[in-house]
Amino acid sequence: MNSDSPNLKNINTIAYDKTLREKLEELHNSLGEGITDVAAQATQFITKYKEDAVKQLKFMSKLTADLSVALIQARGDKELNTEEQNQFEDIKKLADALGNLQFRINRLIMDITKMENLSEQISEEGTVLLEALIEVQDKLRTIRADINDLGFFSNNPTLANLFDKQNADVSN
Amino acid sequence: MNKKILLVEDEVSIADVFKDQLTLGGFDVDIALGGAQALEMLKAKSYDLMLLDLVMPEVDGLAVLQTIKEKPEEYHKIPTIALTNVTSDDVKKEVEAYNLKAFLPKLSLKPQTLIETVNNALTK
Repeated sequence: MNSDSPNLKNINTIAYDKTLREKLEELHNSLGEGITDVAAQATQFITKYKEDAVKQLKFMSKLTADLSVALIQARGDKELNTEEQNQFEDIKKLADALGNLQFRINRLIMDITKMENLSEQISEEGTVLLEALIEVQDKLRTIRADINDLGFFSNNPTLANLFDKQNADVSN
Repeated sequence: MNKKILLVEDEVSIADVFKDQLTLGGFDVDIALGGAQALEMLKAKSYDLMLLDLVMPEVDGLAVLQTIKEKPEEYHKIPTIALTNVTSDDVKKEVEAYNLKAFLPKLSLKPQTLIETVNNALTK
């Protein structure tokens, strides 16, 4: 652009700011291809992981519950002899280990559920942001078009030609 | 009048065993088959004591204790005994922060010990 060219930024500093336009475009692309995809992938991964963990936990819960009931009922209130006591302690060790593992897996599932919710929120907020962005881009396009429609450039063929070129550049 | 106990246990078979023992010990027992149900029941009815399993899906025992502590306007303080297979010291430390009356291991628990511990917790 030579020194005689009109500076369209003087007409509207926002609508004709190339850097701002490029950044909006960049954000648009990253939202479309990046952020929402990452959120969707995270949700997919988390869901699969949770399903596996829940399956394992249910299996362990059933096993531990059956074991617990059998052991509580077998023992009752009676005094165990040494052999019975040793057997009881062996089974109890196993049940204790299962119980501790169950607690951790259960907490993991609860944390995964929180992550799942967070991931959904990111996805939703990404969509809201994308919609807001598209609206801003549309408005800026309309503003540029309105300015162009004023038509005062068309009185000067040189400026009109220059403007067409610049307008084509900003139309995206 | 019998003391009212809320027994929170997601495994029906285990809940039934302890309910029988507590009923024989002279208590009125309601069962909540999960943390969420327990929180609803605590809002709807007044209990003298809660026996709480720690490992339950979705809302576990720790989450129940946290909710009661964080929402004093919705829940009254209730003496609580943990009834669990979890023996890990880390977990015990975490749970003890909620001033539990006792920490009872489900498996090695004799009916007599259960009744005595509940009575002690109620009289403290």
